[in-house]
Amino acid sequence: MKLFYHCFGGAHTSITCAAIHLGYLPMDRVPDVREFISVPHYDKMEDKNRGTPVYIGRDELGIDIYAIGLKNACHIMIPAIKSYLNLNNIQSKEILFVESLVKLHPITGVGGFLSRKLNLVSMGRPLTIWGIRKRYSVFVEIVSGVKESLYQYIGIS
Amino acid sequence: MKVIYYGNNAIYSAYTMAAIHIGIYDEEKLPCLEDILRQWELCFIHGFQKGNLIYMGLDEDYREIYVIGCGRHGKMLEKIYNGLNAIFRIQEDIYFIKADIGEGWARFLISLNLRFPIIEAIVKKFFVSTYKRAYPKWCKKVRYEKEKLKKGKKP
Repeated sequence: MKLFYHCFGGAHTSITCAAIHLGYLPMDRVPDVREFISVPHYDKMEDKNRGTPVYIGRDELGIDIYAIGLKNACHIMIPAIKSYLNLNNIQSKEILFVESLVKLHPITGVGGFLSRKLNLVSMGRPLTIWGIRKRYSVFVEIVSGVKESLYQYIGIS
Repeated sequence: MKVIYYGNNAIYSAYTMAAIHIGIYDEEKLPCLEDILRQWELCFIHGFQKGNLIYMGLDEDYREIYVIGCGRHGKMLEKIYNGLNAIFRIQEDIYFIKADIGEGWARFLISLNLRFPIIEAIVKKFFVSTYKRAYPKWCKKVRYEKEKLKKGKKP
């Protein structure tokens, strides 16, 4: 099974959720700036490569975790992905999508725009981290919910 | 190989170009008025439906031809499908063809008709005339892409 955390650019919130899922970032406290910077693929996705799924790792249940940027078109792209996989005899239950853009702090959006679109990394990256740290509990909540559902789905209590 | 015609929606220029590609529509002459009006109905009913890959048929070299409506996110769709090919080890190549010629007009006319159903007859006439003007351009693009496919060039 593959799990895709998706957001606008595939550089910040989806990577954060995937990192929490895989234990690169803690669930019990807000990580510091250095911990964010050391997360693989954090604030790295180029604007021109948006849409390319990025493999982050495999979790304890054997599920492959990916991050992907779908702009504001997830309502188009998710059916497009599912119809393409159906065409290739891959059942759509093999893949799960989790929206990680919920309750995005506006500062994260501004930081992401500066860093990824305008290439002002030194200015934008700290802003994205500041915004994500402010809303960190929301991301932990998303990942906890996902993990709980996965455990129930696979049948491990 | 899969050939995917993509546009803002699937059922106007993408559909027509795919139909020309597989020979449903003749390259040499315009489809009859009945066919154009049938496509108007199709646009009217499914004009805003996006994200479904629709199988159109096989071309003369047994390539599978598809159409999809993906808004303004065609390039992203290419990245996603190529990424999925890598993840799921799908060997088959995909050839993407952007099909956006004349789409703006069609979208405008459909929206206009939805808002003012009373002027349907006039809007339909406009649709037919824009369709007739766009048809040679679609044929030209399809011919060009088919040549590229025959030579084995990448899009």
